[in-house]
Amino acid sequence: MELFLFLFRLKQFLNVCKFLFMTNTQKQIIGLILLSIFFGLIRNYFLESPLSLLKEKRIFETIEVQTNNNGEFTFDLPKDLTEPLNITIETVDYLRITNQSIIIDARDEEDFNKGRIKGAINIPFDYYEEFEFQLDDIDLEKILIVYCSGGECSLSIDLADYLMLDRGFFNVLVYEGGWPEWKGAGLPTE
Amino acid sequence: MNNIFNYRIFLLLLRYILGGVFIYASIDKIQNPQEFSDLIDNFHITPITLNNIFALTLPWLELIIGFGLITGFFLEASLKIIILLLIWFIFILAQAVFRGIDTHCGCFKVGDGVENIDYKFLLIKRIFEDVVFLGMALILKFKAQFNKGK
Repeated sequence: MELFLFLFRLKQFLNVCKFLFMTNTQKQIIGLILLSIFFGLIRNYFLESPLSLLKEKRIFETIEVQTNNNGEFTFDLPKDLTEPLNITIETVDYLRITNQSIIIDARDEEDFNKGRIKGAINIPFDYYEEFEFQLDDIDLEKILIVYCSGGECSLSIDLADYLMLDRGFFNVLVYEGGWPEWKGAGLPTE
Repeated sequence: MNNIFNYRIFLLLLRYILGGVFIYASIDKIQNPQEFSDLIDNFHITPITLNNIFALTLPWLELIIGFGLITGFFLEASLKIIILLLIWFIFILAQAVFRGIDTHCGCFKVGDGVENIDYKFLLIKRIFEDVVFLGMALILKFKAQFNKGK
């Protein structure tokens, strides 16, 4: 045990020695990086909403269409949502067929024009200011479904956050599977 | 004699241009770390957990080494960091092009490229710019006589 402790101390000592014998440039590089981290942390401290140092991937709760005792589909949205919910492809299809929702494509205009979920409107997140007028006459209680290119695409989440937090829509859903899943499933497109 | 003078002016000019570019690139990112962090997410190359730390630190590093190049403080260290950063930028931009990731670069401003629908073209343009900057940094690294050249 003491031997381990000794070896550990020896390693620490050697590490310190290694640092002392580093060239000036290497020390400067480490110094500049540490200085940047320091300034970054100070800046973060003074931000209105500081970032958490370890970022977490947002995980949305998923809500699905249900089948009742009579074999009919039902869909109940929880009241007072505080953040968008994720929905499955079956739920999107159900809400589309029953005309309960507005489907919003958050991809850019070029992708939207190449192909989209049938009946979707286009509000590209990157320039929503030019497109959001389409929602001006929509009731804030209306269900909005936002999608983009699936998997790695974050446009739908960003747009859903904007619609919910800034525009005040109450029922915003994100279809994370997005266009690739919808197209792959052979569901109606245009 | 005149040639040596011109050569030194040329190297000084390279330093100022490169330093200016890095300072310019850093300011918008320092102002909007959250958006810059989201942009880093879009490149899908670094673990999401670390992206906030990168977003907070990297712009300051760019700012400091930019000033380093212009003022001559920590010149050699700044140049080495710039070369490594540019190689890293070229790598992440190139992988985004090859993987067909739909993202904008955010190299200069977090909202840059908003009007440009052709992201791939924008990314390739950024790679080209970074290669030019890398060339400038390499010239400075291997040709400049730091202590005498100011």
